[in-house]
Amino acid sequence: MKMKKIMSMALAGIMVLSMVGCGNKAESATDSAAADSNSGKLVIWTLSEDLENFAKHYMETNKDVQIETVIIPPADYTTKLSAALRGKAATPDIIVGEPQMLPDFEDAGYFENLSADPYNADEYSDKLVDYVWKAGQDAEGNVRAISYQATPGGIYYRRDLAQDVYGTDDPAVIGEKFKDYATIKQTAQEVRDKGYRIFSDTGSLRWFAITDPWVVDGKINISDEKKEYMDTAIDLYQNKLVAFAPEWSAAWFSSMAGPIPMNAEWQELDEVDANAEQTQVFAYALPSWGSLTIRDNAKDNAGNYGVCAGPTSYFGGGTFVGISAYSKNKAQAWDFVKYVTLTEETSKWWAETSKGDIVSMKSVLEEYKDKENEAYGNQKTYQFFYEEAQKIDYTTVTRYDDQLKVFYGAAIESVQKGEKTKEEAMKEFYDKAKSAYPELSE
Amino acid sequence: MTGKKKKDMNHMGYVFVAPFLIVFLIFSAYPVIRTLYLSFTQYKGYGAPTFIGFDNYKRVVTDPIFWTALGNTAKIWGINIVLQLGLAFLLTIVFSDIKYKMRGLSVYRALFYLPNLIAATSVAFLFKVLLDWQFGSLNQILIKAGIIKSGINWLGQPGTAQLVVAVIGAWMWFGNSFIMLMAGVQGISRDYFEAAAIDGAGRWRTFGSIIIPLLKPILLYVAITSLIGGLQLFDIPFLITDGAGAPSNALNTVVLYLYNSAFKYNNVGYAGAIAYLLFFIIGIVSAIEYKVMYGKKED
Repeated sequence: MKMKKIMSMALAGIMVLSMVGCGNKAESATDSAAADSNSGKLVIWTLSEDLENFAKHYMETNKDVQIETVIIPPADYTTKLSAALRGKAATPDIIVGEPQMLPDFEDAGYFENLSADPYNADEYSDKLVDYVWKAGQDAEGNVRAISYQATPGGIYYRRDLAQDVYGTDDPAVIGEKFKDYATIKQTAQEVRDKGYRIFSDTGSLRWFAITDPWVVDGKINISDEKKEYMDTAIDLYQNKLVAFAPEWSAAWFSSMAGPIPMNAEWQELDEVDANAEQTQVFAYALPSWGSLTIRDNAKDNAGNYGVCAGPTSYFGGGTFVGISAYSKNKAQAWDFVKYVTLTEETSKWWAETSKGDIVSMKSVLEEYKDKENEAYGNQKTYQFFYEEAQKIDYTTVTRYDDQLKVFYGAAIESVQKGEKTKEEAMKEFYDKAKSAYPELSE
Repeated sequence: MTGKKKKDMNHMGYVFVAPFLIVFLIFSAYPVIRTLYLSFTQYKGYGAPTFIGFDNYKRVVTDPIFWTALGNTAKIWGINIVLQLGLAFLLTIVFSDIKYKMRGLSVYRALFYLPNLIAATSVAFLFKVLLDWQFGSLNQILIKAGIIKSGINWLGQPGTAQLVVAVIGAWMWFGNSFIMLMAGVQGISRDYFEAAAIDGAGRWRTFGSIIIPLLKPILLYVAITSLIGGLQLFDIPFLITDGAGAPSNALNTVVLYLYNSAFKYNNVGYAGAIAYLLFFIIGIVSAIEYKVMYGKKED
């Protein structure tokens, strides 16, 4: 029996401990197809199809260069990249990251320092929108990655509904209706009185929660603004002033084209009770790429949207491109990065090819400033986004923002649903935040 | 000559165990030792680990989330083991009773074991669909039968979500326990039953005085393996929720917390400390379980 005891303990031990241990095996998992130092071949590991298009365009003029683009879903990207670069693999040559991924990648030393010789990227700093340039810098101010796009946010609203509620669809007037949380609450009620809902879901409010930093000197900063965000989200939820159709749900997409049932949540629309109360969504808060999502799903509402500023200028996402510190082909890689991010012709080509992506190059934004956007009632959307992009204050952004917003969102949700009191939810928020980031304090 | 031949044969033993040993050393022993080392360091998953002594262990014993997660795990396991062993025992009694003369044991055995063969991913998906609070079959049936008036949000409320995971676990594993118990009962010599019958023992007396004591080793095995598996609960809570233990952290189990600490928040060293603490907890609980079952004999 003693033996059995020992065996069961040993078995338990191995089963538990292999859990963590297995993570480390990735260290040795280098890419077997490690690059040769053939200067003609570049390998890109990216998050979306954008860079594949850039690569094709690049190869048209640089016929001796061969580029292989590997698209990796965002959820797997960090793991895959870390596995390769911890083993100092020579491929990929070009790596990317969204702003929230960059600090970890920089700390880990994955990105080549583009401020150093022979790149001297700082020479180009005036060419791009300021916040984009800052987002690509590491803690010491060295450039590590550069983006071809800017992703300033806005509030997209239905012009016909605005006419109905306020008798005008002027972006300046509607923007005033979203100028702060107190006004948003009032607007929500006014919109509700006409049978519409201000947002599809209270998640829309999260975009604005960056007027002051989430972390100050290692301390989690739940300022009055963050508290107001929570209160507003709870208020809108409990008074049923939103449509309860979360971002990316089927109901959310169809709300762009017309009425949807209330409380559809994540259901397919044919599953929703046919007698459910119908409503229309008044506005959507999304970064610039969202303007394309709305345009592509608006159907009969095409041209019936306007865009205005929210309580604060914000941004979301964006693909930042850099060179792997372990690439054996850095000169060629730098040529490609420069071509994608710092060349005016490419920037213009991309603005046209992508049919509306907001580029980061100031000269191009300047040039397109007066271009009217049919999908948005001929509003000058380039001008709007250019102005918003310039207003973004990157000093309030910290590496913790995205995850803290997720924890804060969970806290809000548990209060909204009545599962927890505000105090309990906040305690859990702090516990989670400190557990994920032991360096932070309350 | 003959001596030499013998020696060669002895060496062959090493060759035969080598494949297992090499795989074991690389994939089991090395990670276990490396985890122990990392648990004493601050390590983000990249760069060099910094040695910080017992800091991670100090942190984990005072970490409210860890204890919540352990509480959740224990609660889920507790409900699960009662259902699982209870059902397995009931079936064992039914199938081993001479009077009932149940036929087709092998067919039932296969049927009961079947849920265990389905991948956890499929099981999680299946239950997610069945239990959806708006259009899941279970709520529809309960509403149609007039038992409830409006749908219950099974997976959206802390209490019911834990219950659901426990029931899924019991459903997946009762067949396994049943096979073990059944094998144990069949291993008991018929002589005991006959002797008991001659002495005039009834069904309950036979069960309490013959089956239970003689099944102890099997029961202990089932209980300990279930405990080891139960405290390491990960797949179903991970798949059935958002991967972070929603609703309200009720499905955040120890191993889910460990996984998120290591791979989501890059606190690899801390996750190592959680793993070792869990190992000790399982060791201690297993020892207690053993004592409880065999304590009297050893005293």
